[in-house]
Parts: sequence; C-alpha cells; structure tokens
Amino acid sequence: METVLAVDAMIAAWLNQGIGRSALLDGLASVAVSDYFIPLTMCFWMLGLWFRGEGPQTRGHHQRAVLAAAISLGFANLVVLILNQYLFRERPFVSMELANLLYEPTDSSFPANPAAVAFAAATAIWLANRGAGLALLGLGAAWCLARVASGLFYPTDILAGALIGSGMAWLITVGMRRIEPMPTWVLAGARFFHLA
Amino acid sequence: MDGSFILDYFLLVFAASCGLYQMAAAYNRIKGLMVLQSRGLTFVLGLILWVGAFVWFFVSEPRNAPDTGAGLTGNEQFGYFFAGGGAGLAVTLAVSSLRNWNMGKAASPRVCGLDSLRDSNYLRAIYWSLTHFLGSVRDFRKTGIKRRETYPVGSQLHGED
Repeated sequence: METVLAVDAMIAAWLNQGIGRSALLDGLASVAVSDYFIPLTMCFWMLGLWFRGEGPQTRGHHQRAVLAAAISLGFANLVVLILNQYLFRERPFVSMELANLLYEPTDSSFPANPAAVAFAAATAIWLANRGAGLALLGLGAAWCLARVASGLFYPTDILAGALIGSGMAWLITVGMRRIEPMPTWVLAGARFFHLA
Repeated sequence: MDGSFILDYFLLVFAASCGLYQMAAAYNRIKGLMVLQSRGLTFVLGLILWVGAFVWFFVSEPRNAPDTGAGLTGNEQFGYFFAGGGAGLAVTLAVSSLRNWNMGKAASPRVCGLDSLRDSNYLRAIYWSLTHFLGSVRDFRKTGIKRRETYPVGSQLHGED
C-alpha cells in the first residue's frame, strides 16, 4: 500500500511539473481542467447523438444509450457522494507543493467524482456506439489527466472513480434491457411530440 | 447567487444548444428544424453559435471559481443545463417553424417522431399528431373500437430503418 501511495504521489508531482512552462499550454489546461468545458462538451456530444441515425431504429438505439448515460451519471455521482461520507483523502496540493490551475476544493480526493461522472457517461455510450463512446472516453481521460496534472487528484482517485462510473454504466445498460418496455414507452412519448 | 455566473452559464448552454440543434438538423437532413435553406450554411451557423458561446464564456472572465463562491454546484449545472437546453429547443422549434411555414402544407406527415420533421415544420407536425390523437379518443368514446394504427408511435422503434 505504501508503494502504491508513493508511486501515486510521484506521478502527480511529475505531471504537475508541466505547469508554468508555457502560457499557452497553461491557458488550454485551465480550460480543460475547469468544471464547465469538458463536462458541457460531453453533454452536447450526447445531445447530438440523440438526433443521430437515418431511421427510427438506429436513432432509438442511440437514444436508449443517451438515457442510460444520463441515469448512470446520476447514480455514479450518488455512489461517490456516499463513499465520501466514509472515506477521506487529502488532495495532493495539501500534502505537496504543487501548482494549481483551478481552485482548492476541500472535499475528499478519493474517489474522483469527475472520473466517475465522465466514465459513466462515456461507457454507457461506448456500449451502444463504439466511435461516439471513444470520443467521450478521450474527453473524459483528458479531463482527468488535467485534474491530476493540476494537483487536484492522485491517479488512484481517478482509477477508482473510473471503475465506479464504468461499472454503474454497465449495470444501468443491462438494467434498462431488463425493464423493457419502459424505455420504449419513454421514447414513444418523446416520439409523439416529435422529439425522438 | 450574488456574483455567481448562473446567468452566463444559462446563456452559454442556450446559445450552444441552439447551435447544436442546427448542426444536428443539417447533418441528419431534418429540414423542418433548419433555420436556413442550405444544409452547409445551417451547419456553419450552428458551429459558429456553438464555438462562439464557449469562447465568450471562457474569454469574458475567469471561470475557475469554487461552487462555494461564484461557481455552480453539480446540481445547479444539471438543472441549468436542462433549462438552457430546453429553452434553446423551444426557440429552435418556434423559429424553424416560422422559417419553414409552408413545409408540409400539402400533405400531413406520414410518420411520427423526428422523421416527420424531414418534410414538415414542427408546429404543423405537432398539430397533426394532437388532432389525430384527439380523433382517436373521440372515436373510442363513441364506438368503443380503437382506431386502426395509422400512426405507429412505438412500433417504429423496433422496425426497419
């Protein structure tokens, strides 16, 4: 365990060295690390997928995935919230001298909420459409990398968050197949209003 | 809420979602949602709106603020995303219906869902589906017989493309 924590801190400190070397890169990283850019881009990607498909069958397949992603995202967030009541790990910038591009959050570092949320959405989409899912996984990975580089999370926080998110997405996707025809009714309702 | 950028966030989502709906309409040939005639121009307009909204949001002032200060909590982001995206959708449906007023005038839409917006505007499509639904209810009350399914809302979800 000691070795894992040491490697964890070493990776976080090594990635943090990149900050402050280039104003342009710091500017881009401060957008990537923010609470808004990547999460919103992921949401818009999923919203775009809602319309994607030549016919109702393909589009319905994508829309089910978007519904699964939205539900998974909520449940992954809830699991992290519950775990945070029992587990507390200090942020890397507290125990080490690191440059920070965001602000200094006071909540637990483990497990990483951004990783749980991003990987929940990305995995749910990936299970239905590999290309669209890979793009989301790339965005999620970039967000998490920026957060580790900025001294906000350790790599194992991200790993735990990603496992929670991906696991939740898988459970919800399987669960949605089990509760058919309810998802079909939801989509049929949206189709009645010409929105699906 | 003092000093918070909730309104900026709402405007960002509103403008970016309007852009996204235009890009999606152009890419998927949903002509009834397009505000311009040309697919290419509609896509470019959508892209400009989407990129412009993000550039304005991040360039206008620093946005990396904690949610205990000017920033938004996760729940607020979720709520205002739905509000902004919904407002963007409402405006897109209204403007595209006015811009394509004559679309679908000759014949009622033959299909339901987004596909109906390929050859009809939204207001015409929703008017048709509501009158059809109310007609079915009236028939059922009078005769007790369900009207034949001419408007397959659910079945198409499992049908052929």
